[in-house]
Amino acid sequence: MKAGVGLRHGHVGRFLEERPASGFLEVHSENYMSEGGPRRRALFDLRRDYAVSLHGVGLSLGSAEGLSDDHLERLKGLIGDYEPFLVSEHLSWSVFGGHYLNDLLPLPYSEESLDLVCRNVDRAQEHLGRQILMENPSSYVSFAQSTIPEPEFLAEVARRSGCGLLLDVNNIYVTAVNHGLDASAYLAALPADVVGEIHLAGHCRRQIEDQELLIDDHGSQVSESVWALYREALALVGAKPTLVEWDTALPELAVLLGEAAKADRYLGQEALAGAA
Amino acid sequence: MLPDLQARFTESLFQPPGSDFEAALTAEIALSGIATEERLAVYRNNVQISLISVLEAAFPVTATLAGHENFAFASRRFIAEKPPAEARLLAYGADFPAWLSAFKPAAKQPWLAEMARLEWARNEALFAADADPLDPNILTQQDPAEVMALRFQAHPATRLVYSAFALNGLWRAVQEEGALPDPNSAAETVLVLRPHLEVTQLSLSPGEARLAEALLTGKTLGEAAEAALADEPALDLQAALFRHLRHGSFSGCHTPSGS
Repeated sequence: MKAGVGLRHGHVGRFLEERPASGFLEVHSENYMSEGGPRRRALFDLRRDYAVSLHGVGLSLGSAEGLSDDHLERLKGLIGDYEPFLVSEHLSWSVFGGHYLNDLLPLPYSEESLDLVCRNVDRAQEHLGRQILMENPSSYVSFAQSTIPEPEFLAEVARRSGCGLLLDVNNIYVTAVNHGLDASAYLAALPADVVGEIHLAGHCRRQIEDQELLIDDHGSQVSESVWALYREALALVGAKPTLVEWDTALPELAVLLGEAAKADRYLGQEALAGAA
Repeated sequence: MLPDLQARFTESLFQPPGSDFEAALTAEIALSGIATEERLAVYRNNVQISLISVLEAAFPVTATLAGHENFAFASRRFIAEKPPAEARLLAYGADFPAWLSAFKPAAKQPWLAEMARLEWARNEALFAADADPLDPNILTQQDPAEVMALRFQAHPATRLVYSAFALNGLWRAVQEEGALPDPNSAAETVLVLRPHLEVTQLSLSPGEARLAEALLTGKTLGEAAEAALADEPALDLQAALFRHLRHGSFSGCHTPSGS
């Protein structure tokens, strides 16, 4: 199994011309929701050589107002067009009152939210006719009304709805540091058997007076702490399709592929350990 | 209740720090070492900065002409007044040109809003449905008696942008990082096209513009020619039509007899 990379516009030309080795390519679904154009054409071309994963940032599974029919229908169309091997979304909300807020906003982890998210996931999976993976978010606030720890919330959504989980190791690390949680205990509380994919990315640190807040900006190499947590995750869930994401301050493609190669080494070790 | 919480959170994202919405939201957030306002500021920044980047990517020439700081200032206001209506951000910014034309700080540079219209036309062309352009040799295959009755079908990507300013000249000068022409030196109509993968644009004379408009809205070649020649008696009609065919303005044509 080889790790994949997030396909970003600045790297598309290199992929089209050189077809560098990569386990798979993951794109943000919303960027391909057009009628036509070169972007869609490039992905049709690339999917002949690479497995494609569709990663959505806009379905808003945590929206109190439910899901947009139009958005679901467009996502279904994309799935038909590109036949992705994975389709994922986030445990967050980004739509309210007819506005799209373009960030993965946090939910209180209450029984009310749990019922709502399960309803939305059921609706999405029914409409799309397939399982989706739900990614754990990075967050900067937690709510007083939260009564369920985040990993247990994710586990319960997966159990009730049958969705899989996308384990974002960087997000676990960022969230753990920002809320004073134990990242290893978080990992151990997740149901390993429903993890369908792992994400890795970089974060940055913001100093606020005498404290640090980690920001999930996908703008640098994966940190050593996150690599260590990745190895822990592999030991728990086994070798799973792993993706390196990089969104801001996009580097040369070689740097991104280098990060994926590093993930490959850990994946290879885990595969050997798993076979032994 | 979740709907109330999401309503307050949404409002706080578009208000400056310290708003009443933020205060109401803060009461629901678990206290910890770092001030809640600092934590909420991360979300506010993520939303605003990412949406400013979306607008800069869709309107790069407008941003250059306005100055990037001015553009960011205008974008912030636009985002607060007209946040995206859907997650498909490739469609975000359709309202920006009209909004910018009424934005007081830009009133002395009315060409900025027109440049934004041109750039939105280019954005629409980029994401429009794909179609094969009409074969440029099509006219030679027509019965000469029927040529003037031909009607053309606009290619899905084709857009026509009228302007009172030297829009095409300004756009090209920014691409080439050359000296900017006086915006008032010409009134250019620009035809935006994407017959295949790349978006292109042509500056049209008044007669060419009239011909293009008539043909793109389904008039016959005869009707379009009459209108164009009325505007510009010296127009070389054949050259103007071939320019369209060579650059891929149309995706089809037909005559009353159905050929």
